[in-house]
Amino acid sequence: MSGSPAMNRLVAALKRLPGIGDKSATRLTFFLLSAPDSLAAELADAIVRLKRETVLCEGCYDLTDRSPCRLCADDQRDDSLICVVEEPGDLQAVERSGQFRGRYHVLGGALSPLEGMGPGHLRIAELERRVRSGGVREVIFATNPNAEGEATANFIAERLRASGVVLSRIACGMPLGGDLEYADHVTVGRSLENRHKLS
Amino acid sequence: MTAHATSAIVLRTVDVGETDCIVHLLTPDLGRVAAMAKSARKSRKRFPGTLDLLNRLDVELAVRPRRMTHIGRAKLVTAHLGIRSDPTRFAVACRLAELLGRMAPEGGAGGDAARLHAFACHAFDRIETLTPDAKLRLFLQLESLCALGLRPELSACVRCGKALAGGAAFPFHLGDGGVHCGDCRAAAAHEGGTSAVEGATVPVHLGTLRALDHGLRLGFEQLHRLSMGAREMREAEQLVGRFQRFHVGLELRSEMFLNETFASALRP
Repeated sequence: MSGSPAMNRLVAALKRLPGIGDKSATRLTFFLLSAPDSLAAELADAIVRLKRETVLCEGCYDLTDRSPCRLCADDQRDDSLICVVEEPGDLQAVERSGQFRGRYHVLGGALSPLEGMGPGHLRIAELERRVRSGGVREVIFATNPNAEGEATANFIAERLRASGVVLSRIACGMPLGGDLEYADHVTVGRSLENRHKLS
Repeated sequence: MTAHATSAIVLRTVDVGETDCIVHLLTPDLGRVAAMAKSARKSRKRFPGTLDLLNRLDVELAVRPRRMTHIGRAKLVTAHLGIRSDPTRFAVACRLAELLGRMAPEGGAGGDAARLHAFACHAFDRIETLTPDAKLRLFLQLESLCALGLRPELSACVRCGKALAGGAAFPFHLGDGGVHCGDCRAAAAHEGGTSAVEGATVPVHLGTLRALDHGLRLGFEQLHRLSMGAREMREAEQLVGRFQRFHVGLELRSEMFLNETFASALRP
């Protein structure tokens, strides 16, 4: 694009973000030019602080501002339960449910051979070390119920089998507010397989 | 715009923007198709649980000239849950999906797409039920290359068609897709070495070629009847691996995971 070198530099920087192309980067640049100085300063400060102040928790590998994170430091939580999730966002989703009071382990993704994501890219060895260090009764796999997530859960479960801890998987089936008519037969089948008694 | 109903296998999905994804499909009439699935990650009703890797679907595609194909509707036929439950099966299936995704032609000329789709359906079904070992992995790779039109010549000289004989190792020409007999080698050397490109040959014994040829004729179900010695396996793996690398033009991403998974499965 023609313009000042500063504009070109920002467009080039924004284009490196996922989902941002030439047009979006140019549009954002023009928006920032016309926005108050305080917005630009706030944005720049937020990005700098994000990089400076965000660390990985050495316990669960969640993104946090201090290590150990709030959840790992909470001594009211059950150390014998570990919930394994793919990403920090998944940890937040489980936490929002309010149904889990144990510890977490964030893998940092799922096995995805087509994207070149193998076991070495995930924090599987760290999980094995946590389990081997003792005191763990159950590992709950809360990876996504898609091909990669299921394969990841099964891959890790195979590695942990010898440890003797209980290995479980979150239930799969119909979502609340869902419609049976629109569900595929595999989901309906799993819902029946994972049915529970009404007391 | 034309609405086109067909069956398809999901070879890959790539998330786009907030809610959409591009799905790479293998179909029996259009060959390999990259199609946009709008709101696929948001809607519970449009594509519920259908656009997942390796799923077999009935789809309705909106095909528009010079514009991206869209998926209008998708119904799940088979989810291959057995593949996900075993890391070695998953690794083998992903390699096949990546190979098809890179090499399957777009368009459905002369029934080739239908043959390739039928092969893929059969192969994924077999992977789901068989326990992948080194032999199945090898022959699945070789059969995939054959289905993609890259069948190597395993029983005769690739130049003159004369039956091969002798105990010494033959140079297998990756570009020509077969070995040259002694006469053809001598003739090629005399002419100035037409295809004897440095580094584009793999030494292979006749026994290995015969074993590969026999294995292809047996098919997946009967592979247990084929016995291969350690040297034959090593040679065959090297040959098929380099043959694939030569024709695909790059190392498949899934290959590393496959190697790691097999190494870990063999560990006591």
